[in-house]
Amino acid sequence: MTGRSDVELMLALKAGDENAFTELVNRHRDAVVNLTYRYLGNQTDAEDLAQEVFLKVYRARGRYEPSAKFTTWLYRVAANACLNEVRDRRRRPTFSAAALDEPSAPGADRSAASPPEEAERSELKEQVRAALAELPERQRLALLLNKFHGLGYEEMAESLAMSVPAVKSLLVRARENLRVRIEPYLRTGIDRAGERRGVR
Amino acid sequence: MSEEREAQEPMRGDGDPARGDARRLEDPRLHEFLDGRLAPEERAGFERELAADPLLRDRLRELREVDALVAALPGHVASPGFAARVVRAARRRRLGLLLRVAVPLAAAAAVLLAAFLRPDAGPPPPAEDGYIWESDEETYGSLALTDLEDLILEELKGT
Repeated sequence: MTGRSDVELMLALKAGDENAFTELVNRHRDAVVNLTYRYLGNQTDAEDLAQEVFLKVYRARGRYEPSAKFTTWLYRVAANACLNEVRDRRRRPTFSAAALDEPSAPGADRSAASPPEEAERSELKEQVRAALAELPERQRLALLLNKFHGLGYEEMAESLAMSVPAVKSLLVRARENLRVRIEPYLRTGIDRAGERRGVR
Repeated sequence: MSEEREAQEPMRGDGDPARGDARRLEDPRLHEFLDGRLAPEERAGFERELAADPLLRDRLRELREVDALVAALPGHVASPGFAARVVRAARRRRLGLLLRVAVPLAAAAAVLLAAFLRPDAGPPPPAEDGYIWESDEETYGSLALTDLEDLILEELKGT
């Protein structure tokens, strides 16, 4: 069982092997939960959405054709689920950007006992998270797929149903927007100030 | 302004040094370079430009730092019971679907069977006024199962 590829598992599921689904979930749960968590910024919502992603995979088993790499297809399902979730939340009056700002991990909060350096690092992380949460949805998704999940331009294009040049441009804008938002927190280049003074 | 930069400005900045800076700093090759997407020749050429351009170098450093900061954000792995919950939910949905399809079908089949087994089932005899009844097929053929069920119940009530 353990030696089966993702595609083999998916085809087995299509043929009625329910254990194949369990194996697929076990194999990809952390990647999917990580993506939904980084996208939504909330642990409970992230697991609920990740569950929806796998249920969509389950429901699509009968139509599955191994035309693309399984993970590309899985990320496509996950990306759509993320985009739909945010769209649906916007329609609900309770949604706000603050919902994306939940402190990320146990111990990540800034306690009074933290040494100043740690508190500074923690603040920086929060700023980066907040800046990431403020990015337009597709830019955020593109950045996450690229930085955390190692998807190349072509795989991202398939996952986000866009052309490769469009993905490239999305990534450029995402990085640039993020840079502008966290610029005050970026380390100043050693010779930057002097060079700029010299140039102008 | 250094000699090197002065030499570059007229070509790229349309005579305006500030606009030239901005344009250079928006160079998409910065991102392709970071993503390892430049072909070897292009990469070598861009590295030469970087070596000669402190502002461009500085921007590259910032973008690299953005990448590192994003990559350093904590993630979250699935909680221990996650997979079991998903599999249970999938089974529940399948069962739900089965129930939604199978129960109405079984009910319709039971009603049909009951109607078929009814002792006095069959078309009523011709009426005295000479009215000729349509065949069962003509009467019931196009009706949905629920309509049929209602019809049978009505008939039963009438007997």
